[in-house]
Amino acid sequence: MSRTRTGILLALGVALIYPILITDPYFLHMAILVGIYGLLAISLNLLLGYTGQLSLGHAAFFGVGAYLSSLLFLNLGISMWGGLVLALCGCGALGFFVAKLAFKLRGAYFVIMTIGIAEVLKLVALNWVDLTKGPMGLTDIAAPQISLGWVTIDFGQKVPYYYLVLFFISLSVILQHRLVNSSFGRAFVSIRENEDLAESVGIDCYKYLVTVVIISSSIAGIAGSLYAHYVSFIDPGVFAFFISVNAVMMAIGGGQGTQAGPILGAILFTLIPEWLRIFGDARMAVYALIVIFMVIFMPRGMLYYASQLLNLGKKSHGR
Amino acid sequence: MAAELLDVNHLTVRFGGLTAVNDVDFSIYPDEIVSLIGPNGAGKTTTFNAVTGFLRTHAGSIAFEGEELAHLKPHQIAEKGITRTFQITSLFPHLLVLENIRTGRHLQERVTLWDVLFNTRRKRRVEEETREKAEDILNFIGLVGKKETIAASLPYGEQRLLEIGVALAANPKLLLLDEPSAGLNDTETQGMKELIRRMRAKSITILLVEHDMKLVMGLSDRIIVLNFGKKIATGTPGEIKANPEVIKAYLGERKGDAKR
Amino acid sequence: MLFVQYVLNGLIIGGAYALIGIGLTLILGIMNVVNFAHGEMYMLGAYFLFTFFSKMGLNFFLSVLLAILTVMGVGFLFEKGILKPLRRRSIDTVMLSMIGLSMFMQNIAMLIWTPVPESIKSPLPMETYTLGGLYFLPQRILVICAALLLVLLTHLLLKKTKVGKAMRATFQDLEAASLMGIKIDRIYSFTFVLGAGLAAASGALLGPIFTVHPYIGNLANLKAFAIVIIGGLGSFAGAVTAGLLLGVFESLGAAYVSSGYQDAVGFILLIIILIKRPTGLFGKVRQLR
Repeated sequence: MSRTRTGILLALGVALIYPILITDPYFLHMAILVGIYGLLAISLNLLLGYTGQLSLGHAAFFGVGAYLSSLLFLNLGISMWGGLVLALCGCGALGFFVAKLAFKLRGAYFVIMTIGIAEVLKLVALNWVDLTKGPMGLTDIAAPQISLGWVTIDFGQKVPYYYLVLFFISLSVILQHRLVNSSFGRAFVSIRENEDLAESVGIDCYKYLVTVVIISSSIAGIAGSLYAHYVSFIDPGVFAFFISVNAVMMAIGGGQGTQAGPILGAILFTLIPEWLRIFGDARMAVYALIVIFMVIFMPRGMLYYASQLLNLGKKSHGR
Repeated sequence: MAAELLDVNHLTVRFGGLTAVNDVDFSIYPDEIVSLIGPNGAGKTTTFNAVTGFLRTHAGSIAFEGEELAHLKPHQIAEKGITRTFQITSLFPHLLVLENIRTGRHLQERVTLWDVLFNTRRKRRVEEETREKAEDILNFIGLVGKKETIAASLPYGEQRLLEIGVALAANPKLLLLDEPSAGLNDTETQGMKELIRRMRAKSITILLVEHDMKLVMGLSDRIIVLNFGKKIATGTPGEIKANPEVIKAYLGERKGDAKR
Repeated sequence: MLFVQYVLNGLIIGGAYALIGIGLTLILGIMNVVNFAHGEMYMLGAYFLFTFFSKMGLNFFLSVLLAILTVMGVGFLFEKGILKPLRRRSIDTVMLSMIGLSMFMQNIAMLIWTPVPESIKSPLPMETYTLGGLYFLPQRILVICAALLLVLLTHLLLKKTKVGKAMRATFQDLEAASLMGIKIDRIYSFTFVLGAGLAAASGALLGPIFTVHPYIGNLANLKAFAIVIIGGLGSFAGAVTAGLLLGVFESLGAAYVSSGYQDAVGFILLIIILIKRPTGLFGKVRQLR
């Protein structure tokens, strides 16, 4: 069995028994957050790592997913399962519009536009008080329960929610793997590598860019929905620039354009802001320094430099 | 004579005030090797860009197998069966040689998103096919040994070969080569010449832009000469060599010695 | 009449916007740097005015000048310390570095001046003057006069001085400019410092009008980018026009539609321009890659 396969099964095994080994609720909480942000990181990695388009507004999809799911539950009484579907479709649709708008703009223009969209949505969430309760936010967003015969699984508890998030992460990893190793994946990468050449061999770059944005935004929306029903309270802060920046750091920090990168990045950049609490008020200043450091000195992500260091005989594969 | 594969009529391309291609007519027939030559700035690459959809035409028609191409996008034109190489080396730099070729095969891979997401049998079959066909192409161009090398790290001559491999992967009927021998040494140029002949033997029609007159004369069935955007001559190598207009256009450049 | 008042108010704020916009369009156009830290120059301009004037009690106009000069110094350090070493890196790397820098500046400001919003009391009389039915606050008159003056001075600098010509040459063709003997490093430094100074001026002028807190740079930054794109990359006239337009539309939007969405006006205009005319009002076709 190949080394990668073993590694994945090992990781999956550890993930499956994690809640049994670690019972401290704080570490479970961290693991759930890692999973939710991992989804966000995977979604961004598809866009940034593979097609090479930087988005600094992914909080837009995250936030919309959170609000759609929450409002569906609070106003119409539909459980999280429906919320997840709505988040997926709603963010997918939003992604479609963003993609159509953004295709004409590339590079920095696209980045600025993504920032702008997230900011506008934040303003909407702040000001449309009738719908979103403005800065007060939405509370009591409950997670559902499932009854299987005589057993009831209460997703309001950490352990079941952990497995739920693990399920979605696993699904996304499989999706990412299948996409990447297909003509779609090669088309995505060709956009990053050389768009003119791609067009000249028949790759409709516009179509693939729209496709990747829709897939990316849908996954980010699901992450938002899972977040809302976990923390049970959301406010316009779900559109915060920090979330978008941190998501980019996850996608880059782990290793752009790799499959394991976003997971590693999610672990790193969920934990780092936590560890920085020891700096008190200077916390975000140190975070900013880390961002600058990583962007300048480790643009290929931790995975690459770690493997160089450990000199694993990894096949040098793309970026 | 067989019907034309490519029929260009009254092609005109303008950049602001400059008319780069001015009312140019020519035809390419199946299985021909045709060279497009002319002094620098004559409009050769511009013609290529117009035919392959990278530039908008201002007048004229470009018909391929009877179908009008003039307002199609490059990827649509590739679908019709025309691919090209570029004047400046154009590859997928960070990808492996094998992956470069596999990417080129995109048009032959008929899979839907559903196939991909659910890893259907069709998808797996297509992946296998792509892998095989990519190996075939690598053998054909002579780069099999380098298939796991990163494209950007190949020596220049092999990069130019890889470019052709990528364009071939799309299974074209007509292949446009933009200065394929630029920067190649004598041995590499000979190899390029043989490769072009082998491609023609596989029923791929070739249209090339070239400055190496020896190569042009030795390889071409026909030659089209442009100067200042206008077609000034067309004919067999023998006819072109003796054509006074052509000689005048190249005055100051020694024939057969225009290699860089 | 009320309408004219709103337009007037909008033009005044727009004048200050034009200053940030000009700085950014110069930096973007000449240096090809997506300066996400530009808003922080604006923020520091306001905060240094606060320190020199409100805290240290120096003369108001002197304080404004000192604030601008201090921020120009900071800008000089940034350019030499961060931008110059990164010159050969990809545009994404520079962008993300500037974002990191911007976050860093915001948090340092928070540590130095605390996150509590401050207000700077204008030394000018607080009573409004009326002229022809329109109301004028002296501080606002100062803003528009200062803005006009700075725009004029910058215009003259670009058109008439040697360094201005060198800047324009570098904008048009980097290689040719360098071959002509223009010291690109110096031009870049000068451009960045000039841009920082204009942004600081904007911050200092608007400081007494709006409250000052560490995150005012965020919105200023986004508006600056909107102005640059709407006006056309690298276009001086474009930045001025777009700045004024933004000010006016924000003012009208706040008055007739809703004040909460005031800050969204810029983005809406931005999106419209990006759809209809991506090169901007005055821009030539030039890609930001």
